[in-house]
Amino acid sequence: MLLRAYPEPFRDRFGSALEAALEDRLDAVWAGPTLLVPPLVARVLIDVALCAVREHVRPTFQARSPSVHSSTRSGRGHLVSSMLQNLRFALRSLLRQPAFALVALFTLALGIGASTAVFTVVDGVLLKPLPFPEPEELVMAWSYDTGAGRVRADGGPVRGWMLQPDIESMRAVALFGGVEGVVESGVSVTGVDQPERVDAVRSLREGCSRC
Amino acid sequence: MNAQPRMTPTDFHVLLVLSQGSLYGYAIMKALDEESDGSITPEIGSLYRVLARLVSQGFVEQVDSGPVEAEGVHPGRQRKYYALSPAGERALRGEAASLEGALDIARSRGLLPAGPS
Repeated sequence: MLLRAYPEPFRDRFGSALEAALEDRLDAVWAGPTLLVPPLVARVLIDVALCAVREHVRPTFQARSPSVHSSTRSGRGHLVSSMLQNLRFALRSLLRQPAFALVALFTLALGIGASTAVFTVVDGVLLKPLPFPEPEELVMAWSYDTGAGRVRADGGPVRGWMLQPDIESMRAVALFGGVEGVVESGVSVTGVDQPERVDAVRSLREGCSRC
Repeated sequence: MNAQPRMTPTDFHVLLVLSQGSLYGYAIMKALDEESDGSITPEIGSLYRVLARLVSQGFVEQVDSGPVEAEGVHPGRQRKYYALSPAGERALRGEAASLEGALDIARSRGLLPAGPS
């Protein structure tokens, strides 16, 4: 697979020999101490990959058709060559400073992981629509206790209970497509290995509970 | 004065290894490691770039088979053998003579112990 990254002239001339030598080398690595296998295999494969890039940037072997080769290296070929040169420089710099490369990789992994976690929360709380049809029309109505002296510390009204007649009257005016009274409460789930206390919302109309 | 550009140490050692006979890729790698006391240990990818350059320069040629048979567990593997060409042998002799001259200078300046007279 890696050999396909080499330029065609090089691959045609040395591909099969390089493949056999690579297999010989990897056989020798696998026959060695187990602990050394992963780093050595990585070293061998990285070397082959880097050499494939180097061979594109600075070929050591060219087919005997210089006119065709020179025409393909102009324009887009130069751009690709420049990109490969930059990639080669970056890889060499990282390999020369493995500690820095590891820290950079760890930082990247940490950053990507943290970003993914934050986005998961934002998506679940803010972006993902509620599991109802036309969720943008869903509203929650409250009642407030406006009795004398019933104010919060900041001067606002105190939230109070909405009575069953109030709910029925809201249904009667047909202002809403549907009205449901609910009570937030906790329930105990039993009948499983460990009983568990969970948050629940209880519907007033049908007397059922929905967690 | 030799107008030919100097070889890299790896090029020189690869030619030196091949001066004992044709070898296949992995055998060249092992011989390089042994003959240079572990100072020149190119991986397979790097070694084949060196071989490709030496083939382009005409110093090394690919041959059908070699005297040293593969020692691996896959004797049927399609290995290619590389041998020193006459031009490669001339270049190797020239480089060795050049290095010998430099070593003589180093000895005369006390940087190396005197060699056998």
